[in-house]
Amino acid sequence: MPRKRIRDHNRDGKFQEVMCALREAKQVTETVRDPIMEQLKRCPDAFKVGEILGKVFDSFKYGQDEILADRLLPPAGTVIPPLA
Amino acid sequence: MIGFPLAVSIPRLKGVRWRCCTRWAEGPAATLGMSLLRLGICQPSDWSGSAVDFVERGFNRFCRENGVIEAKKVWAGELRIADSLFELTEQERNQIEAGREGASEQLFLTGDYEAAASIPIGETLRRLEAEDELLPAAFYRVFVANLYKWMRVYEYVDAQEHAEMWMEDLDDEELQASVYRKVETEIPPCIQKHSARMAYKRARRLLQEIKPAAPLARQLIRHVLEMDACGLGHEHAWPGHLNEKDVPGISDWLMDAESSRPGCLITWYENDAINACFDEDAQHMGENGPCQPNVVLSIRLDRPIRKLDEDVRRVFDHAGAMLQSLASAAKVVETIRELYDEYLREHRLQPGLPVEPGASGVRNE
Repeated sequence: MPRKRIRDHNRDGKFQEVMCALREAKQVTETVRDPIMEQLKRCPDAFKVGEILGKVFDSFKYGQDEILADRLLPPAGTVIPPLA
Repeated sequence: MIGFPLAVSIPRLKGVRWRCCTRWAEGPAATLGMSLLRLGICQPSDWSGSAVDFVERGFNRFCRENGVIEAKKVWAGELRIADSLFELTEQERNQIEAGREGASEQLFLTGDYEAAASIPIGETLRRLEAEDELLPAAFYRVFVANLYKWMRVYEYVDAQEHAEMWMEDLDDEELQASVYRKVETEIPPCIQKHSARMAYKRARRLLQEIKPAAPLARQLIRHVLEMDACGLGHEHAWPGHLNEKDVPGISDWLMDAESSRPGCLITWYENDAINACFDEDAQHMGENGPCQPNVVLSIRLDRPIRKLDEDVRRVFDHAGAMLQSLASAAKVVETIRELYDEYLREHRLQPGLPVEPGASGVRNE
């Protein structure tokens, strides 16, 4: 006896649901901007400034003048945005 | 409630993916994922909340369905989808992504081999010759031509080129002692005599028509013809096929990069003259730049849906054919190795002959 072909609505629904989720994932990538990266793109020299500052801090940290290093270095774990 | 104090405690994280996907990776993966979903390669049930995971699940299933498990028995390598042709360090990747406007608009399917699979074919050719004088040359021609569709093959022709180059600088005495002379003399007569006149089409016709008596020969021919059927209509997707219009900067990269590493080494017997030439060549591979991948296919993501789907279908058809063909090739190679091991066992028992290492031991090294 031929069986009735039943359309799987649930499967179609899931297909559309995943397609929407993928579309959203794509849009999020296109629209979300990282504020720090945006600032850095406008001023790439900030990379160099950060590098120079890093070297200065290192020289204080590993140099002889420990008292000066304590005064200059931020507390451990502090994040300093380059162009705050 | 306070538990017993422990020196080390490791939290158990349930439902958390073991990988961090950046938003730069999610964007291109989402575009590819939508196409794979439309083509039926990915399924809605693959969705776990990440586009990269979604593509990976679909791609893994696709590879399994096309025989990757059988192929991996012989071919150690990887087939991967990436947004760059080159291996990048984390720092290099961050620099590229920081300088890029928006998400990547191109993906690459690349195929490469970690090691050259050893194929000591001499004994197999000897057995085939017992069936028909032309059969070894025909079998060799079709087998190698099909391997070439998916990888660089190191065979006696490469060894001949290597030997000729090095023999130029040797005097007569050195030549006598050199292994390079053996490259030519060790070529089996059945190949030396018939290979030049054994064109691919003629060889395939001969394999289709011949009815060998030995079941082993029938089995080898069947698997080689399977390989051939899987690869029908496909050409080797060398990186050199990519053009500057599709992949800006490819010409410079190809100029700086070295040839692909071979995916297999076809010798007559392990540790023969071909093997010696390969070892010398292999020492210098990758010294002057990165080695090109064996297979590269590009997918442009910034195309209309219909074109994108056609492009993705083309790339996945190629990958599927490659895996199916390599799965059949793996069966051929396993038989070739069994015959070689049998040859070693027989010859080791004869008095007066030096004991040779087992083939599996040599391959493991």
